[in-house]
Amino acid sequence: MKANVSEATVKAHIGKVFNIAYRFCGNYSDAQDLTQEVFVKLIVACKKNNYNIEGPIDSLLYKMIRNRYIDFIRKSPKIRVVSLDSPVWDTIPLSETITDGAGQPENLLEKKENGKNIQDALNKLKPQYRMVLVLSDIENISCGQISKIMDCSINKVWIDLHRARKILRKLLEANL
Amino acid sequence: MNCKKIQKYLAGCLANELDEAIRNEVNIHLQGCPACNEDYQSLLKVKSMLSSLPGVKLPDNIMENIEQEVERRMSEKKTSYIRFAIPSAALALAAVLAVFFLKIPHQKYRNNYITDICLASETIVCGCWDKIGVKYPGHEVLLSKEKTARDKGYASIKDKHLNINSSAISPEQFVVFTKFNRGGVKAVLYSDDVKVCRKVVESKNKYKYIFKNPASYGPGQRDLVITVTFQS
Repeated sequence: MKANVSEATVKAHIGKVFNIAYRFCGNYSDAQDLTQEVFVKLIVACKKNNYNIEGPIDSLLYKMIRNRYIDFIRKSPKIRVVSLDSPVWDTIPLSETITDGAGQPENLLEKKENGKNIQDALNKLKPQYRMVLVLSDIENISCGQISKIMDCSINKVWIDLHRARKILRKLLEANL
Repeated sequence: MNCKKIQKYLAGCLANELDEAIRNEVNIHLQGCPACNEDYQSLLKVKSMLSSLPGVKLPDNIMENIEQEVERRMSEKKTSYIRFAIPSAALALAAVLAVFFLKIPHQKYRNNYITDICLASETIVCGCWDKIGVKYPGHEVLLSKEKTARDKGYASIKDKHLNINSSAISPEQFVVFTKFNRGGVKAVLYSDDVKVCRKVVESKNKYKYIFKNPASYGPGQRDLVITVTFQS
């Protein structure tokens, strides 16, 4: 990555973009594909048009990940393939869980289970609700910025957020 | 503010993005209404649960994959132009040749007259046709090719005399025609069609072809008159 988008810029944002992608998809390999696609598109477009990225690109990346996710929903097959590297809970890849199941502290396990429950509940939400919820509550992006990312009014963001939280609350209560 | 209205502002209140006046009203309501307050607290709990979710571990090879994919796409872009250039050029050449060899004859329009157009056309052509419409080569005369005002085209043909060698073509066989291309409407009007043209024999060798100007086109438009003298 020699030109236009520096490696440092990519490294600075890739973690956050991957996190959003993972929360959107609920799947490790899909999140990796989405993240790669976002950065590849950005770098290729910049190289092709000789743009230089200066200043904050957070909003641009959020918008791109949202658009790629919508494309992904449209194209996604009904059957999902789960990679062995995808985490069953949150941060631990499945391969590590299989080989090294012993020695995990109980409270950590509980935390991971909670994380899994929340992600499962998130996966059951409508994509529209899931997106606003992830952007607002997980990534702490302001509603004004979300309205720009989602191409809608701030009132619509508030309404979607409110409904999404209520549904999520119901789903989590049912799981407990 | 009632409970229904409070629901509308709860998300904004949780995001801490409400105007101060509205926020105060919401706070006052929440203090006095246990049901709304409970709702608010449970939603706050959902929000804090989500914000406490840990970050996901980034795949190790993601940077290399991005780099490789960028390289692949950049090289793909370069080859794609070459891939499409040759078929495109061949297609363009075929189109040019097709236009060159497969000229659409005027005969095509003969039975499809459009009379409701101005007779002062951009291109006015006089030619020699026999009864079945075969054009005699070398007898076509381009009189005018005005591309701007229609009156110019009209004026340039007005009172124009054509001298035709009658040993090559007799007055009975001679057909004068005008071509039109106005506003995308293309047509050819022929002097042997009594609906659009009146033929006046002025003398033995002198004929006048008057193309009627349609009345619907509006006043001020004169008829197109072409006078032809056949010389032996």
